[in-house]
Amino acid sequence: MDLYRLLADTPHTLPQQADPPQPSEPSRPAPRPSPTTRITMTVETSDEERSGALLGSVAP
Amino acid sequence: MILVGDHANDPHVRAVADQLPANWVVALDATRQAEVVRRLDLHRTVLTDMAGGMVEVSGDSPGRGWIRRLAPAGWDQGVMLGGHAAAVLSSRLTLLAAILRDPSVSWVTSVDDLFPAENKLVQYRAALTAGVRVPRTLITPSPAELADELGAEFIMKPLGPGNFEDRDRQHVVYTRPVRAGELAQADLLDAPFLAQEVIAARRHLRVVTVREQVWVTELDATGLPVDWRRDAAAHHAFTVAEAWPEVERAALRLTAALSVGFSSQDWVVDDTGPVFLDLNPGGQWLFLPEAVTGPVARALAQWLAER
Repeated sequence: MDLYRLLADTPHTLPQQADPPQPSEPSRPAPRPSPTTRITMTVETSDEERSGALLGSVAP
Repeated sequence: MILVGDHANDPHVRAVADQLPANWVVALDATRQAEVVRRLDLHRTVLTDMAGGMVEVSGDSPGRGWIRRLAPAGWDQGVMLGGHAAAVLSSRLTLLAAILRDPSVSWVTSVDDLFPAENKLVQYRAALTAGVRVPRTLITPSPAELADELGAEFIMKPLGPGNFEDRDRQHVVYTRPVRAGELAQADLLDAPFLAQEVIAARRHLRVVTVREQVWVTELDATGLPVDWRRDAAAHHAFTVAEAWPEVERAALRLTAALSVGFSSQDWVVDDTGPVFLDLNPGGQWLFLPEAVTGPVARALAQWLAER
């Protein structure tokens, strides 16, 4: 069990100051390998947005 | 002037926008780009302002901006990762990120300073460096270790959002004391929380900063739960405080260390003195006394209106 399941309450209304974290910028998904081609590694030289892969997750 | 937030539904965005002329003010977030973005090339960005006219941002026509929220809360609720809807939202965020990083725009807090400043652990490290007192803080998979270092009772705070929806019900994680025995069946690193010592708060402080200006409000903690948000009346019981010059100075040292031009900070005061708990670079302030809410909005608007 994770701590969200263990510790969360279920109030009738949300507290006013429950500002959620900003949505984080998407990262590029890993390319799906073709079963018929050899996987080649590529270097992403200018991608800043590696973190925050989950939409709506906590900002990096 | 670019205001990033939900103008239609966020009173904080309206509070600032209402201080500014509708022409030359753009209200934008990740849900309104189809209405606002006219053109973006490598040299200029053309946006629709609140009066329906066009605003160009470029090296010859620089602007200023304030980020309240990149998208409304819940805008991605139910969106499946890797699905079509996720791809649509992802593309909107990427475009917004490009606008936020236009070198022709100066921000109250830049997007690249905003994200790390939201991280509680980053905040605490900055606070220690700035000589600001913070609670003892620890992350470990061992409940026994938490009890050994933080005491029989300690606080657990999510590193992620403080609320979530599951099966059409909202769930909120309030800050409250817990004991190691309560955590025995949980995987403490599955959804990591940070653990902190319990601070016996005599007063809660809400501190708002805009650039070099700071406002301190306080709430008597007597009879309130550890998380004052659980008490409905407490939301409207803060009063203006002028007895905390050390907190004012510390709050500004912290914002300088984190490079944030706006902050809404939570502090508590125990028998030893003030303790910093949290900083939100896009946080709320309208629930505070009117003697604070108006000046905060005006301070933001005045900076945005400067050339």
